[in-house]
Amino acid sequence: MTGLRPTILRVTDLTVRYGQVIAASEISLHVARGEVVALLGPNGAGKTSVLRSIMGLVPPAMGKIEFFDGERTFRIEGKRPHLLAKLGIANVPAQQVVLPRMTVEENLEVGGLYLGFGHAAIRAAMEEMYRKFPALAQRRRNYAGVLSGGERRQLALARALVGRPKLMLLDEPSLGLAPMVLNDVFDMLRRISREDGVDILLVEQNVKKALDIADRAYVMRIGGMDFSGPSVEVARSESLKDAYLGS
Amino acid sequence: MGYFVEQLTIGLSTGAIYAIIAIGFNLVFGVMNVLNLAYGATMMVGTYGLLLVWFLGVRNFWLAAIGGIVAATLVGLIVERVAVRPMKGNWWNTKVATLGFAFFVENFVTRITEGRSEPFPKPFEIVYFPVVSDIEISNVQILLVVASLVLVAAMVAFLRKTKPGKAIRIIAQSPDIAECLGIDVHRITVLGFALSAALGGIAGILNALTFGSTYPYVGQFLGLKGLVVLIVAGIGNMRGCLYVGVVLGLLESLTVGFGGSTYRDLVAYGGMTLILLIRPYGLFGEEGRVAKEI
Amino acid sequence: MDPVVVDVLQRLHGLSLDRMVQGLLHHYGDVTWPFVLDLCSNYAVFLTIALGLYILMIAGQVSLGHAGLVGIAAYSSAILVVKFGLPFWLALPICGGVGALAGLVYCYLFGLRLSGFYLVIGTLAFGEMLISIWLNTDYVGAALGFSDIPLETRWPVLLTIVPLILFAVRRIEQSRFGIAFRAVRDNPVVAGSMGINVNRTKMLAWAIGGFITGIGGCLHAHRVTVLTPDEFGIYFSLTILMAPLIGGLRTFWGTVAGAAVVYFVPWLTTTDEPRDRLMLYGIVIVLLMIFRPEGLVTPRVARRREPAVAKVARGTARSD
Repeated sequence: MTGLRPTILRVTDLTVRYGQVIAASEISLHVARGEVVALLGPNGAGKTSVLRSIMGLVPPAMGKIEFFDGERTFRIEGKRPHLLAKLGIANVPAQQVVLPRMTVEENLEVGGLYLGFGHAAIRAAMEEMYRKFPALAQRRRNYAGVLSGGERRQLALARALVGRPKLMLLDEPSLGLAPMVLNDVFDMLRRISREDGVDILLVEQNVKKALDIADRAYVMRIGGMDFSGPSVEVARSESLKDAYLGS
Repeated sequence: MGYFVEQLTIGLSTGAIYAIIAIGFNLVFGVMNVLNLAYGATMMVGTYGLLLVWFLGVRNFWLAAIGGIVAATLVGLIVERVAVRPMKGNWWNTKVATLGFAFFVENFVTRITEGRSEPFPKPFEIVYFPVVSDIEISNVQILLVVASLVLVAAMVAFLRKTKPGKAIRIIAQSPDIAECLGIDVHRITVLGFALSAALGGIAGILNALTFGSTYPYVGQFLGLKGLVVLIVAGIGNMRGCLYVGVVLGLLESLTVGFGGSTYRDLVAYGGMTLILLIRPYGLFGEEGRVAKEI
Repeated sequence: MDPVVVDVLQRLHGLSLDRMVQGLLHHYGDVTWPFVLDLCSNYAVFLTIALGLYILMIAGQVSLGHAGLVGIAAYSSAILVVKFGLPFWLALPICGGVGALAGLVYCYLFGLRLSGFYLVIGTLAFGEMLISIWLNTDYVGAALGFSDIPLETRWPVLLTIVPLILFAVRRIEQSRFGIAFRAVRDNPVVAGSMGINVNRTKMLAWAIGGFITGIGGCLHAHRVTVLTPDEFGIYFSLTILMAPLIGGLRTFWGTVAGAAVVYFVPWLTTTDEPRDRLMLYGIVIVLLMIFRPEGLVTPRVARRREPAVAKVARGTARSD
């Protein structure tokens, strides 16, 4: 199936619990090199919990998570997020995505500051981001707190890219965005995947947009995995409707 | 006129101390959201640490001071490990636990020193410099003012320009984002506590220097004043601590000089109440805390 | 080596654990029935005060200036009985009323405007301010204090009043007031949309809590017979606050247990050296917080006693 494409991320039987409540149970998925993979499902299905657990913000109750950085495979379940960040995994949350009390410039800078990059490399990366995201270049001295929703989303993406990640975990990139901005952001995601060679796992409510840019999709139902497959098939399938509308 | 200015100079140096206390408090509370009720005890340990080293034979004030600061830092680290980290961010429990720790330390020190007021050694002979006509400033007061200015400037520079300083500011805005950026939040928190405790130790020592003595419960008094400054200035703002601290010192001193010592605390607490009623986020803070930290 | 250091080392040596245990046992030899009664009476007064604060906390309010409220009631009682010659039994409910009024003042100044940390600090500041004011008021004795208050709070009085108060608190907790309080605490916005007047509920909490604490203050005044402004400071406020915090916030039994810890543990750990007890007390507090963060009386114990309606209200409030 993956053939020439090595698996970057493999999640096996992941179970996430908050106290007594099981948010997600026995989730298995994988992301291969060069792929954009979407994680879909209705509200409360546990998608965000899965993402947060992969990133280490919530320790999994059970399961295995493996990450391949190009040379070695690491077992990363239960490891703290800052270690994963240093391995090359970037996380862009759904809300509160930027650091409001720092400028755009500072926000970008810290994207790479703690990952071991030298100042020159960070500067270069920042310049590249200003080229890719002209809106940010204009606002570089503004405090991130005054940016609009779309600009913040761009800033969060740019910041993540400064760290030259190998894998990006995105939680609901469409949240709160106006339609036009939405298109821009998703185009940007597609470009990032193609041009920068970043693999993407995104959780999304906007099914259409997600399937537009994703190669494969997993669909969850409340607490567990429902089905999966290439986007084209998932888009057409009856099960997709059922998953969202309940059956 | 001379009396007035004399009060002013006293107030200035007291204010400088308040400012330093507030910065240390601010670091841990404003920036990391932890209300450390054991902070006062940390300050007190700074003074007793100095005394310990002094009585062990090291008769050099500055070396002994370093000993005191180290002691304070150690206690600060213990507080973090024992009374803060296990609380997992539960705000109430942190308050109670740090308080319990403070009880313990204060009474421990009382126990082994008989609880009396201990005379404090001096770094140099107190010399008064005439400034204008019959107004004099002592070298201790100069030391205090210089120290507070230097420390505030250093803190601002630290937070703005250094990697760990920025990390602290990031953690204040979002610990999750900080972790995902590669910042080891645990380690930086410990660093913050250590720094804060060191500052507390310095403040305590300077205070003991001003009054010529120290006693085991000095931490409560100082800690409370630091808190007042913090609230009035607005949590999270370092330079505000300097301004408010100095003003508080001046106002208190003038009140005592012209009104009587029983009114002194009224200034602090009355002022704090007033601010909370009119502008709870502080003079230099802003609604919702989207204010510049520095 | 400096003689001071030698002295300190000697004292450290005297701090050994078996010395402390010996001191403890030695001290227990002095325990007599009147002593225990005495202790329990003090505890009962303290519990009354703490229960007043607990009522506030059901509604999500806090006060780190509660000692100030106690002081207001205590001084009022002293004035009424000593300066105006009122009989103690009359002064008692009047002080309750004074406490309720004071509570409303606190509420208006702080409870309605501030929340969380700022509420704590505001009440703290106010309490400290009160001390400053009393220090400068000669009518109440200023720094020297108000003395010669008749000792009225003996165990018969306490045995009558305290069970009444316990009963009252329990009834409030389980009544629709209690439900309203908890709704306001958990989620003021949802409570508002359920038809609860949030501000009025808070004021009610402060008034009732103030009333109970006021009674406690009166009892306090007539037990210690001498009042000084300094005793109503942050230390006392913190001690009062610790009772419900240590004991658990879900039910009033928590405050009963917590007050017992706060009051009796220092006594239990008394040795010949009075400072030891406070030291051990500090350690106990820290350990309690580490190992029993939810308080001594935990939700599972409390839930058995909660009426069904309250559970539903809480459930609705939580679903975000």
